[in-house]
Amino acid sequence: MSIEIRHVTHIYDAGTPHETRALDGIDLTIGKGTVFGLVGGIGSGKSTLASLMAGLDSPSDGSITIDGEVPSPGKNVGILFQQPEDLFFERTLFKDMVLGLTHLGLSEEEVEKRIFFTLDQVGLSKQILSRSPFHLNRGTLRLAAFASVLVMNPGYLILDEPTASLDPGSRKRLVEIIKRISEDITIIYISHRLQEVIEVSDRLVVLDKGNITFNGTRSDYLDWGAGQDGGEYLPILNQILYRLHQLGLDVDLKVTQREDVVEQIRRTLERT
Amino acid sequence: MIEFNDIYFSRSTGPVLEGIQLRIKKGEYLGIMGDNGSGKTTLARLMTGLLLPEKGDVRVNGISTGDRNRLLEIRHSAGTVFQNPDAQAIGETVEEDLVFGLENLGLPVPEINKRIEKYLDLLEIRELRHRTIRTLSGGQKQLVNLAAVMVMEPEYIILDEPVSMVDAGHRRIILEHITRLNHEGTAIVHITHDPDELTGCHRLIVLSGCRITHNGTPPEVFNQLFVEKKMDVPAPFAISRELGLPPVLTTEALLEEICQLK
Repeated sequence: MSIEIRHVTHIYDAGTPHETRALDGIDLTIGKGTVFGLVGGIGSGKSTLASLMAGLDSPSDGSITIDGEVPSPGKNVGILFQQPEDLFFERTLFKDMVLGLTHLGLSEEEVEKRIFFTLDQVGLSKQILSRSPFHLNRGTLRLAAFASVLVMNPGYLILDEPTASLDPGSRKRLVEIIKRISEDITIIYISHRLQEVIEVSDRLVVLDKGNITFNGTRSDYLDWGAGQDGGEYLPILNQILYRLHQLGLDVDLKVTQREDVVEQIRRTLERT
Repeated sequence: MIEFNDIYFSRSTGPVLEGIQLRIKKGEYLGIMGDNGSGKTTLARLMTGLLLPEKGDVRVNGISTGDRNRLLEIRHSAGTVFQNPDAQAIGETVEEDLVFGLENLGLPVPEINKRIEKYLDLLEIRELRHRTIRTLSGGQKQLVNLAAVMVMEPEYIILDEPVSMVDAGHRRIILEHITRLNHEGTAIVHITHDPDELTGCHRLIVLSGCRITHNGTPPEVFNQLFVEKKMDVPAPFAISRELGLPPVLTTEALLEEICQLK
């Protein structure tokens, strides 16, 4: 049970002078039951890979299968787009959430039951369903958009910058929910917020100009990131630890929470 | 100067902003923080007349945003980069998008080319010049939108979450460039949730409950926020405070403080 990506190449504007090779023959297996962090700079191919895995586009070359089948959005895979709340357009949130489910041939009661269950998973109340999406704040809408994808019961879920433009409170709330549901759903987590990716992911893959330059566990990633020029692949807290380590301070480079970083610095200063 | 004189703005759900008094001087670098729904984006939209206040008035260089005959003047002196990268693009390709505004300014072709090359280089996105905008990622679109406003070389640049989908490398380039534009005289209004982006601004305000609740230099405001524990502050600032060191805003300054203790 996995997503199998085999020799995948994807080219935009093929055959024109501006042909762009977004993915260049990549191979990757995403096993069930993991949170998979996808990291890389602008133009590295992250969003292209996400749309191919979600079945929104077919690779120019190579193949992608999900549990042996072709990716089919809403069936074996779900995707939460960047700024998903901008896609709401109905007069009530309920109408927007029902849209995907109506294609599944479920009874009205079953549809309601699934929507109520999913709202509960993301910590929203039923009352919100009668509100207009245009009257809710971005944090709440993001949770609702997330619920609209969850309600389809995807086995694999791709989250593309799920916390962009959220305030810290809403962001923490969403990250907690993602951690909780990851026990049942395999998650591919794409974000430039390295602190968050580190926090949620079991494994990380780094893309650079359409190639995979790192694939390993969170702990291996921190080692790898420390070895890269400028430390730009490390979250700010680990950058600070790494710089202190370079200055000769004895600190644990693998802690990721601020309290632990402060504790590391305090201890090493006490020893000197 | 951009002036907000006792502004009130509401939606059907209730007030969004009330009693807002704010002056943004020429050449200033102002940071704005606040939770989702606190009115930050509304404030940005009021600045260029995209929204009009119900009470009070907003003036850009003395021109009221309610004066529809002079809106073009206002839009030439103040450019906005919006948070949703899809809401902004006009052209089919990146180049067409950048050319659009410059042609409207009536600039000669050689000048248009010069400016486009300058800003594509500065933002390190030269390779995107001929790409179709619809095939770009969210982060790439944000960079293009930023370039589209920068090529116009306005007096004020208003940035609403300009780098929320941008990688660390480009984020650093953008922030450095914003600071440089500011040193050269462009006023910057920078709205963000990420306090680490605001360590270079002159003044920082926080919006909460429809009002400006904090207004001061970044160290002053971050200090209040740290004590109140309501909002994030830059990581080096929090660490220096928790270690009982003099509060600092950047990693470099934090390392220096720690090394002095060693």
